[in-house]
Amino acid sequence: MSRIELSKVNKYYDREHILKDVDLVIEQGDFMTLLGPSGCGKTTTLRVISGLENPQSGLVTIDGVAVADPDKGKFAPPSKRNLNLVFQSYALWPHMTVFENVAFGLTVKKEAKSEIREKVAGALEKMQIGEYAERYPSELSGGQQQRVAIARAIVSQPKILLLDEPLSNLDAKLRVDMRAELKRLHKDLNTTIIYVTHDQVEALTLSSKIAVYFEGVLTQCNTPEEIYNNPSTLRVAEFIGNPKINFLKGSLKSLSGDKLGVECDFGALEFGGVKGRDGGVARLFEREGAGCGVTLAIRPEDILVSQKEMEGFFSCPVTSLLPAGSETLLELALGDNQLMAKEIGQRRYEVGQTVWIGLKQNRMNVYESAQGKLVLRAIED
Amino acid sequence: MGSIAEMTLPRGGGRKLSLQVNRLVNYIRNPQNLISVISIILLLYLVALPLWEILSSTFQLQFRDAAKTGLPEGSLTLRYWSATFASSISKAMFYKPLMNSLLISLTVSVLGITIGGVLAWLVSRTDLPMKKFFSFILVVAYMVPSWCKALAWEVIFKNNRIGGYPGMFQAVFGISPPNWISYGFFPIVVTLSLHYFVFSFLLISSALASIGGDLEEMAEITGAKRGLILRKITFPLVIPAIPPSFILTFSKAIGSFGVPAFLGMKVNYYTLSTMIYANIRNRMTTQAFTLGIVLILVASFTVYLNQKAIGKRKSFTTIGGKSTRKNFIKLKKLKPVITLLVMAFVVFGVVLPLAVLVLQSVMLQPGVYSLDNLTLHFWIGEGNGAIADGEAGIFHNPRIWKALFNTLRLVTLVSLIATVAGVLLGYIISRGRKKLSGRFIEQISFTPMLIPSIAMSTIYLSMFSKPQLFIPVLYGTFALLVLISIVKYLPFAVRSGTSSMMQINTELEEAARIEGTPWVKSFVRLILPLAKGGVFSAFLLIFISGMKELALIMLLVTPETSTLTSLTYSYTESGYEQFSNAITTLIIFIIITVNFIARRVSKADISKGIGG
Amino acid sequence: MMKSKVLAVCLLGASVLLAFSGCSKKAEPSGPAAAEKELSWEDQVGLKDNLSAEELYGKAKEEKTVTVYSMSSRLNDVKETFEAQYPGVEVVVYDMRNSEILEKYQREHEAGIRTADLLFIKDSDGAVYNEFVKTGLLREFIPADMMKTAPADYQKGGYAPYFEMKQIFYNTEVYDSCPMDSWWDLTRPEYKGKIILRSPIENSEIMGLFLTMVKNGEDMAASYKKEFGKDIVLDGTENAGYEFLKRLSANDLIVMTSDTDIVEAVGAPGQKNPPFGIATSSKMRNAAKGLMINVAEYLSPRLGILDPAYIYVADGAEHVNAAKLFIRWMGGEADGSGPGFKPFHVRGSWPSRADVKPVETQELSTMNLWSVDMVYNYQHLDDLRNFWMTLQ
Repeated sequence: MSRIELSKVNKYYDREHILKDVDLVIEQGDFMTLLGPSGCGKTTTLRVISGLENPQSGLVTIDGVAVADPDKGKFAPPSKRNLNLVFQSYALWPHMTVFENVAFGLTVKKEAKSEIREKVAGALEKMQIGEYAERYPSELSGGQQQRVAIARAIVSQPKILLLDEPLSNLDAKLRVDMRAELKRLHKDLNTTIIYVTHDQVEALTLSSKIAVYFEGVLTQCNTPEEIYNNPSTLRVAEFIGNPKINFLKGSLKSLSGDKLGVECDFGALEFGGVKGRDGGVARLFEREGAGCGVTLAIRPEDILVSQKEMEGFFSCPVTSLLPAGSETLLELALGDNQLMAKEIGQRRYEVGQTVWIGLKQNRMNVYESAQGKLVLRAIED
Repeated sequence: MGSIAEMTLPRGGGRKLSLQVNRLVNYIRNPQNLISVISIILLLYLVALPLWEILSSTFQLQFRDAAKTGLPEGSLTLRYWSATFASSISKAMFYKPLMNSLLISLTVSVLGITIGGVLAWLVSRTDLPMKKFFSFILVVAYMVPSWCKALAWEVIFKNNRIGGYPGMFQAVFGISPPNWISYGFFPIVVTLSLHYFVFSFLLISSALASIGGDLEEMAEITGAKRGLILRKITFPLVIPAIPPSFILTFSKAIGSFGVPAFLGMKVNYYTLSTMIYANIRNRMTTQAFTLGIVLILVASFTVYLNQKAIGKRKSFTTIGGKSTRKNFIKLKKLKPVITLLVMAFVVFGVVLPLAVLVLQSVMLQPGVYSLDNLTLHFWIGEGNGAIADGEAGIFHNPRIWKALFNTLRLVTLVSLIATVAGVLLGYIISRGRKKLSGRFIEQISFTPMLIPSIAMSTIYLSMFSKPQLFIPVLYGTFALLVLISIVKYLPFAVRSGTSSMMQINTELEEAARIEGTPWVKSFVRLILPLAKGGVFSAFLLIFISGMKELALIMLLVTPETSTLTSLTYSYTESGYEQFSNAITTLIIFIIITVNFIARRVSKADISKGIGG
Repeated sequence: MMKSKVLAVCLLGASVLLAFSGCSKKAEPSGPAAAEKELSWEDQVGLKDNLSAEELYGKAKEEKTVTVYSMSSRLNDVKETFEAQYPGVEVVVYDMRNSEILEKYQREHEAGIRTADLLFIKDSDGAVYNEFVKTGLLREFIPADMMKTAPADYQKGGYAPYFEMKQIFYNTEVYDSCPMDSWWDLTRPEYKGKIILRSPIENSEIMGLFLTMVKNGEDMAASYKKEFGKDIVLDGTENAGYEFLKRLSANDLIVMTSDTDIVEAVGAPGQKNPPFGIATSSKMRNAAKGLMINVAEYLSPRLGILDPAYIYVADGAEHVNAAKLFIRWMGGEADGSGPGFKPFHVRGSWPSRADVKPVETQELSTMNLWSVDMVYNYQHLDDLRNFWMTLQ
């Protein structure tokens, strides 16, 4: 069992407010990714959990035991939290060999020499770097250093493994390999992993849960699917997904029963099954009435493109073509909006050609423009 | 472009020759090579030749001994060396001073590195309060001349043995301090350590700053205790900063003159440098040179050993990670105690010497501690009274104004020229580490550091009292002061020049070269601006050192070219210590002001100046 | 453009090579021919002519300036009165240490630089006389009318306007009169660790006295017998003079770097057990600063030796007449009462002319002194220095 819970955690550096009332629960065995642009507080959250930083208010518990309780002035040192950390810089001690690096923690705990040797060998084996044991960090490649850092972190079999942007210093190919490695590691070790990254693809690939931060505020914490399908705010929506999600400006026109009408500059749209899609659009309509500004968000893959005119489709010119092998991206001008549509496979279009596009209304999230809050959730097709 | 040169050269029979000439021309035409050649020539001339002259003169019979022995002047002789190594006076003149010098320099190096290291760690890694103040004031310690600290020591710990006015300690407590506290090894080591710890402080501070905090945090996560982290992680990582600290401290300490002269000579405690001085004072210059050569050899050998011992270790370059905000180590209960200790250190190392200095400058009778003995005469006196034979206070004294002007002119010129030279040489060295010329320039430009100032001025005195090369007789001119100071401070300038050049990627230049930018232009427009920080810092460091310099120029100044420091010395000689103290206060004031302004305006930092 | 650059580099290289080959050659020592030629310089400029002050002033005005290298800062005062008396002749004073003056002058002379016209220096160990005067590097000039009453030894040779001495200073607050009447008193155990002097290692001024003691070993031996009532037993030394130095050195001497410091240490008021110091007599001036000092007026076997301050004319001086005029002014002109001598007419120094009385100081004629043998001193200086070094 290792359940981590942060409640109302606040952290300041001098007068700078870094974490603002962060509430976060990480369950045993989670692969929790803290995601957000740089400077948003995700690393600070990690450091608060590790005990390297102490919050000024709030409460941090691990397995129900308070490890950081500023009100009582109680802070457990990092070494008492049964966790380990891989720094972005790896923080390998340059004056120690790989073996010494990995063994350091065990020697501190005064474990028997033979046991240390065994454990270190095991960790190195797990990371497939057994042959480099006697080398110094400076004699290893970036990817190998990364593996050493992880081996060092897992050798003491911590219940919680913290990873601070571990892949950001690797080249693209290595990064993809390491992702698979980390996923395997998570399965093998069966520990809780908290992972900090600004790379949303990494987050979506690896995590069992993602917490998205902006400017010290934990905006949304959920499974990767939920975060992808139903970003809770416009900002999250914009941050997650590559290519980026499309936004269409519009205004509420009518709400009758289960049907919502939205007026856009290129035409009217109708959404069905409103009651089943919850999100509070009904309340919004009640409060603001028709004309309230909304933003429709639709992922590029949910836009259907047709060479021929079709019922309910809108015509628009292709402004740019971005073929990428397995998929083709089309840039389209719909009214005043620039849209990106994604087609699987290689398609032949010409720039300037007119196409007809269908917007899957079920797949669209509707946000209130002013607050950026989700008011109508996208659902399965 | 190459074809132009070819066309102008003879063809046919002289082909082979023309090929070689062509090669030479092409070699020289490369600005880097041109600078290399010119700087090697200049360095040979200004550094190697003086050394050679010193060395060769010790094997030649000098005029005054020629008359006595009946042999012609200049004939080959070993008498000077045998007098040094194997004669009835060797023990007193050479072996004892040598042992003293070694013992002092080693102790000062160990103490200085320890003190500097501990302070650096406290300031950069712990939650010590008033850090900004401490790091400022600790550097001020270096700006207060070392002999000024010796002076303060004497004022405080002077004992009965010497007679005269009592020291402050005795005046206050009524106890005469024992001799070993007042004079000799102990006070010399203490005052020198209080001075030269700054090198280690600055170098280790910057080493600590370059070690990411994450390395220590990582160890903390594993559960290692503070002591263990210090021992196993922090200390080993700081080790690369120790050799340069040691080299700087050791070579400075072994060459130091003022402190052992103040605190050693009175109890017949000589070091090599004070013995050199004594010999020169007695016009036994050649004998002094033999000692000077030994001093240079000892310093070089120690530096070499040191580099050999630690140089093999890999320098640790950490992968540029996120610089995590430093988590300061809590001193907890020890905090007040440690703060107090650091405070006490500051008081003893900086405040007290300064206070003593100022106090001494306003006392009519030295050593008489009463209110009616205070006077501002030595500062603002009109100079017509009975005090000090009618010498006017320093603000009314044309001699002092002139010396002030000379000093400022000298140090500004020297810092400017030396810094520029340092950048150029640093460039050559950093781009030519693999070439023989680069390594040679590096070695030879470092050499002046090992030549004791007093020996260097003696040899320059003899070298430049006749026309040399394209240089006319410089003896007694201001230009000679400038020249010798430039050469003496070149090691500093070159060190900092090299280290800032190392940080500039060659690709930047190559990019400019591809666009056809001439070398000079790319140097001035690209490299200089990038090296700005280091350049300013070297400038500042040389400026400060130059303001304090005494031993180097003492033999070379004339009344026309006298500087503030040479005036302090002549005032001390004529028994007007108050004037010296007032002038010294003025010097320190100028140094601190310039340092302050420089830091404000250019972010210059003398720690960068020493190559940290 | 390129061509001129290449040319410049080649020229530079060539000049460097030339210069290197040139500077390795030592300056030629001046042979006898050179000495002959230089001798005639003296006559050419009329150095030996005894012109009156008016005649000299007339010629000095054309020379405009005179430069003095001086071991005493008091020459600055002389400069002021001189320039007031003789407008149009400027005095430039370089205030330096004795050894520095010699070093500087020698090198300049070698290089053909004629900056100095006069050198105001001491010659305790005979080096100036033997190395500079004998070789013609420095020229003697005595204004004959001013030195008629001087001791016979000083009526010829270099001009010495006044004498000083190395004397024993004691504290007058503690001692009513000097408790020492013999140099041998300095070796008594009760004065162990109580005697201050300037280290002979660092400064040879005191060597003149020590050399004289060594030369007059019999005097020292006799004095020993008088003091202790028995014959001296030499402990491996050559004579009683050396023996004295050996025992002196063994008496835990305190060395200081300046005479000012020594008299201050001796005479600072409020001391219970003050030390004794050997220092230059003219430091008696400092009694005016509140120091309780006086000097021993009688010592066995003799009080000591005179330490004259000489003023020599530089060889090849460009302003000979101004230099001579300055010498006269320094000596106080014909009757010795001129303001030029004032700065030296102080306690602890003796005017070389008997018709000018010393200030609050015992008269020269009452003092029992050794005469100085410059040649002996110079020849034995190194031996004595080495001897002293081996004692340390």
